[in-house]
Amino acid sequence: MKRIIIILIALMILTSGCKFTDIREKVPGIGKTPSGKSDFIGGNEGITPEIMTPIEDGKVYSTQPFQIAVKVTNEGESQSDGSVCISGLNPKYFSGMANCECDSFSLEGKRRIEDEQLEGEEEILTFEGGEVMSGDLKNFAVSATTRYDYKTYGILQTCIKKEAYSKEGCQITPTKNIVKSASSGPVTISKVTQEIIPSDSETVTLILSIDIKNAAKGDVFDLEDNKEECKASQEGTQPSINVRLINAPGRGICDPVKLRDGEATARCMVDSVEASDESYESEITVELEYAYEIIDSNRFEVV
Amino acid sequence: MAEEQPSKEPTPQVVTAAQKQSSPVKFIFTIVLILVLVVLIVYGVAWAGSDAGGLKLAELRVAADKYNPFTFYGEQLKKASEVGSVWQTESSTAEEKIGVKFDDFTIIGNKIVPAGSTLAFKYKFDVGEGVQELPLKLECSVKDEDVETSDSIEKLSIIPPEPKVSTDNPLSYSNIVCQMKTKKELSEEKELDVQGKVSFKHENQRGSLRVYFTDDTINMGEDFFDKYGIDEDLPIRSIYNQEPVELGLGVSDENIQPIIIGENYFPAVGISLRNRWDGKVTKITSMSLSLPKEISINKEDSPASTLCPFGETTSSTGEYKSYSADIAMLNQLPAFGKGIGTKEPLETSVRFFCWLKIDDAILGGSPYQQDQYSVSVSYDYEFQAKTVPVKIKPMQTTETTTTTETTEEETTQKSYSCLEKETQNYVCLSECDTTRCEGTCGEYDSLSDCQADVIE
Repeated sequence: MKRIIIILIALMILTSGCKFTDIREKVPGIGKTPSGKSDFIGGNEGITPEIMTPIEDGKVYSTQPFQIAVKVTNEGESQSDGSVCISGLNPKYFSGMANCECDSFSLEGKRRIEDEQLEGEEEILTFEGGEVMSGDLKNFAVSATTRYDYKTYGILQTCIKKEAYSKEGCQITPTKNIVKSASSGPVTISKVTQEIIPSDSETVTLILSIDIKNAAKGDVFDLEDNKEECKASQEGTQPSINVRLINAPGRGICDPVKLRDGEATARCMVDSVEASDESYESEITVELEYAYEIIDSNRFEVV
Repeated sequence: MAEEQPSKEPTPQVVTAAQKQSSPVKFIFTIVLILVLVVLIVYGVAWAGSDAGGLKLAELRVAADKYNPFTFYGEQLKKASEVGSVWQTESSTAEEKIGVKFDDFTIIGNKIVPAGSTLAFKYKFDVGEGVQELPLKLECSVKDEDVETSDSIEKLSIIPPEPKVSTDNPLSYSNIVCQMKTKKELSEEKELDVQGKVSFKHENQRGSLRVYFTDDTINMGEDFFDKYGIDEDLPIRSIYNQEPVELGLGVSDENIQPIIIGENYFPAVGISLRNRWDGKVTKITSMSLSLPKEISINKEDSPASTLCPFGETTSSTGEYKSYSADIAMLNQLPAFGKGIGTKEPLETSVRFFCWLKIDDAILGGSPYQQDQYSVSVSYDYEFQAKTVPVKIKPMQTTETTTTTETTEEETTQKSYSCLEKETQNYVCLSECDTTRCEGTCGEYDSLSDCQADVIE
């Protein structure tokens, strides 16, 4: 009977541990990589679209069927789902095009496995334009608007101790950047600083200030908006970036943040963090979740 | 012992020998200069009073009219003020000449003739590419003088009277002449300014403007093109192909694109016609405006007037609708262009402006759309008149008897046609001057025979 109970308890522990393992598989860098190191490749790229046809300042012949091809490449480190919408072509001249047409994609990002770096996936999306009508207007522009979900991760090396200014053990300074490694994405984690506030005799509150920056050429898009709807940004709305702490040593709460002039500082609070006179270091992973939009256009001439 | 103060006596002037000699030299030089000036003045007056001198001064006066500092400055000021009121264009890169230009109006033969002679004046044209059977309207007249009641002119005619010019047919424009028969009975010497004028109809000149529309109220102007990565040379302008008139189009006074569709935004179209050749537009005979079918002229804010002369839609091709300008409105517009010699200065351009209404269906769910506005205009164009001064000398009445004999002698006196080396024009002389004439001279029994042949 005792054996059965022990086996059941062990099974319960194992099944409850699965969820953590799932997260570890999806979030690169948590805990340790097989090499024993926790690190990302880093950078400020996400999804990069490129209009392959028509080329910039190219010619389109009215006698040939018209086709638009867009290559999307995931040059960041997050898996991403998104869509590309083609717009700007006047249906009076491009009879096969609606004013706006969209197609979706799902791409893995680049990743490091042992010592090998695997590049991110790419896909070519094509849109059939049908017959080109000739008329007085000869010069046109076509735009490919790419919107996608993305995540940027950062591994933080925090120092936990009861006495923040104690000279013993790991040191806490207000300006020290505790980012150990950050993944590549269009929104980057440029700097994180920490503070310790004593709560009671056995716990402290950890406060993290996370500096976030839009480091690519596009703009943050609203996570809740339909990515396959062609519309301009609405005045007054500023999309949010969700911030979350993973494997925090206590109960972590972060407020969503909105960029102003491409930058913002997110604040996270972890309370009920156990602390003693002896300091210790704790690795925490911070996750930024957001949607991003980038537009590529080419001008061409109909001959 | 006190120091002696130096005595203050005037310093004696030292005059060198060279300086003594230069005084008479200066005096002589001054006298010579005065004499030269007097001689120049006397000879100058005499030359101005001579036939050749008088004609030359008349030519200089005609030429100087173009460079009158008062009218020139006024024109420059007008050009500067137009920067804000005409819509600029982008010049076409094509280097071909187009159209017909009135280059010159020159006399064939002498400018000083006896009364009773026939004068001939040649129209010179510079014809560009692609001209086909373009009818020209020519005029030849004596400036400030009513030819019909003139006491010096008997008849004026243009040969051929209604030429049609084609690029591929140089003969169609190389032998156009104005003939002027002077009256024999002239009591006194007469100086006349003979004027040649050329005008033509320029039909269906077109201009178009690429236009972007959006409902994005955040990214406006240059920010819109940056956001979408559209490489446009701002402001977007229509193309000018070196026609007589520069046809400019704009979407607002500042011509800022894209056009925003939404409440509190007021779209418009502006059209400017600016003279660019050496002449003026005497009349705009027709003008039409073509807009995408989703756009119409706002008749409440832009009723038909000389500012927006367009009436109701006159035609629709499905995707575009066309508005024609009301002829009565166009007829109210004054001439514009270069007006040297006119009593009142002319404006160099004319401007139109209409408010529009745009249906947001033009976007069709797209964040932006592009289309075009286009204009077609026809007008009568007149080149600036070109003037040639001539002098007609009366027959000598005191030598009537001898004149009769002389006339008989003159009619029987031989005359020679000479191709002048300097001017490459034919003239009739009483003898063949080989220093002046090129090649051999033609021989004629009389001066009138020679002149008749030279004119032909």
